[in-house]
Amino acid sequence: MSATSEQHLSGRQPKAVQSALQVLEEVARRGAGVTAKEVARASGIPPATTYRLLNILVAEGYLVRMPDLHGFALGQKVGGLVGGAAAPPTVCHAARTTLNDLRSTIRFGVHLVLYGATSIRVADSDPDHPFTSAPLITRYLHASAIGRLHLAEQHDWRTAWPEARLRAATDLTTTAPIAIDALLRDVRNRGYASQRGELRVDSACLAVPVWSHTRALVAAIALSAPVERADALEPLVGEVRACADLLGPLVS
Amino acid sequence: MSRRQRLGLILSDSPLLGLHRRQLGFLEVLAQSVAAVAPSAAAVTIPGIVIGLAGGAAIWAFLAASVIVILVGYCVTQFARRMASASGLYSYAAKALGVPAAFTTGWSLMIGYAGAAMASALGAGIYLGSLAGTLGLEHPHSQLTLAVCVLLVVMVAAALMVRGIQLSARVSLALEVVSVALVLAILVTLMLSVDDASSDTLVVRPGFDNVTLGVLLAVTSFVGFESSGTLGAEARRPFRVVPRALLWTPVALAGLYLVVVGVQTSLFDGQPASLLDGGSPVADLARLQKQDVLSFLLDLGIFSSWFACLMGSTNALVRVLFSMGREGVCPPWFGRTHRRFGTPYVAIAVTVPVIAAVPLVVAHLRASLMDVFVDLLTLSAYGYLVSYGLVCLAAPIFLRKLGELTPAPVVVGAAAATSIVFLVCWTIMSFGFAHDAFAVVYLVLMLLGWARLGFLRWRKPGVLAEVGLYDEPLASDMLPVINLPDQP
Repeated sequence: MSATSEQHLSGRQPKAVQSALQVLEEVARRGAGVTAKEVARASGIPPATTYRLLNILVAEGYLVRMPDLHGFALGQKVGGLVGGAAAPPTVCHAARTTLNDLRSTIRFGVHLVLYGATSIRVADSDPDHPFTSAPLITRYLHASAIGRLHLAEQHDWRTAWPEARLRAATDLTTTAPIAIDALLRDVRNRGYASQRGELRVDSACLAVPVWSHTRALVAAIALSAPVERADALEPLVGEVRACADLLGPLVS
Repeated sequence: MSRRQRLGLILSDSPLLGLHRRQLGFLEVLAQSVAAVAPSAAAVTIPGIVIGLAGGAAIWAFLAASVIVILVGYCVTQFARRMASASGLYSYAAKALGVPAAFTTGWSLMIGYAGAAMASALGAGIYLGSLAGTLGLEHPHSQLTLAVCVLLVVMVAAALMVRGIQLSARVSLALEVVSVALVLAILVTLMLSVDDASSDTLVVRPGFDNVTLGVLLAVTSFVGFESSGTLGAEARRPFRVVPRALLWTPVALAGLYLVVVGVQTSLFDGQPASLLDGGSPVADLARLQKQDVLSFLLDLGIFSSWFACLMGSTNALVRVLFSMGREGVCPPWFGRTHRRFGTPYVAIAVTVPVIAAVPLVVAHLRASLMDVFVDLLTLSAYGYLVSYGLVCLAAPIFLRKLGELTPAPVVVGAAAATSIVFLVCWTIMSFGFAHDAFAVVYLVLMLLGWARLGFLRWRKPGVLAEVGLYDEPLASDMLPVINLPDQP
């Protein structure tokens, strides 16, 4: 292909660009793990075209094919598109220092996530134990401590997470709606959420909320540990809560 | 599928950690594919043999072979667009056909690479000796000279390969450009200067059997083109660059070979028929025409091509071994990488002495060096063709498993696999096993592989879950966002 023909948009190419953007939008909307077939069905673009567009977007780094090779997720390059606005949000230096102080006393992964209207973003991932569960939590929100904090804040959790989505990630995942009711009541009473082996058989996590001055859930500090050391997480709640109180004014 | 994937876990480090990730550009990846084919060495030998078999139909044989190989390339890109691998067809087959077939594909492919590397080491050694002889340095054909030349060639290649994939790819690229240019220039010169001898000396009456064998031989002049699939982890934009190299290499080679076949058909027309029995008809023709400078330059070009092919085939071979080492299918030390250079140096250090020793030992046993060449390349061709056939079958199955199947890959996969099976079976039925001993050697090597598989299944079944390891996307490749469903 010559340089001029590459720069020149021919008759059908605007349509191709529109379709590519539509595919990108569909993956963004449905979240990590959406399959090629689902994208084709939702967008109404012919399957063969959808598959080709998905592969192009993966090749360019805008999408990532998940390790199971079936699903897709947004790639890092999407973050770069808007000058970092969609990239990992940066937290202020004071918040980062506070987190690092906590990390120096705790031997587990310590992450800061921010709650938004349409997504939960990882604002500060532990450098020693990188946060790798975003696609998994997107699929199994109810099985994660981070997701349970969010659901516990809803007037009725079913509006945020339909019962049809209560699928099991592992053999231990709580999926009965009544059990979820009880579990979220417990989260509200205790002031933190936790799970062990419900998202992945080999890990446990615990999330402590960060409140704004109007007492809205704005962020959470999440700890992750190997499942066999899950018992060591709860005794840390006091220390983590103290850090969360410090972070409140810094992130809201 | 591996244990990690079944948990849906995203890794923070690549399972191929240690290789220098994401550094090769398109030309370097293309160089890998081209080098492993050794196009100029193939262009001065295989067309001559096919012309001898099929006469004027040789060009059709090459055209048919080109179509078949491009179809195979299309099947391979279905995988290369979707997974970045360091073991090429082996990991591709693993995602579609299950462990035994994947292992068969990988093992057979390794026989292909190893055979090609050994033939290349021998070829580069012979031509180095011949070049030295022309320069009046030593007697070119004594066994000792050959051994020294082969060892020298192999050691230099090993040093380049350990030093870095980028360096060896760039050297290969330069060598290939030089050698293809030399071969083309020489053919043109010969065509302009050859004096027409008596006509009708070369009479070939191509039958269907001869043309089929010609197509099969022509296909073997493309093998190795799939080897850029082993650079998935090291390529800068693997899903763009690797498929492009896999498609463009056979297309460009087809162009080269068709020109060369056309030129050679007219060149050999009117030359004594015995010319085509020698194995390197172009060089012999140059000598016949008393073109000493031309024959020296041709030797130089072919030496470059063999040397690049030695590196190309070995680089691919050691990456398959490296991946198997990481999986546990091979001893884990095959999976070690050099801390600074990011190359699988242990695998290189283990395979290179074998690559040098086998052709020298076989050369000692066989009457003529030409026989050794034919033996090694036949063995290698068996290896390549079996893995091609399997991967063409695998492509539509892979896409079906992913839920991304469209009609084209089914048609192409079936056509490519059928053509390969037909070519191999028809040739065996019409001609028998051309080199019985080596068909046996191939089967024995495959049995050794299957024995290894059986041992693993018996003693270390956990290892087999890791078969098909590839460069998975990492947490750092994705936006760390948890999407929430739309609220009504």
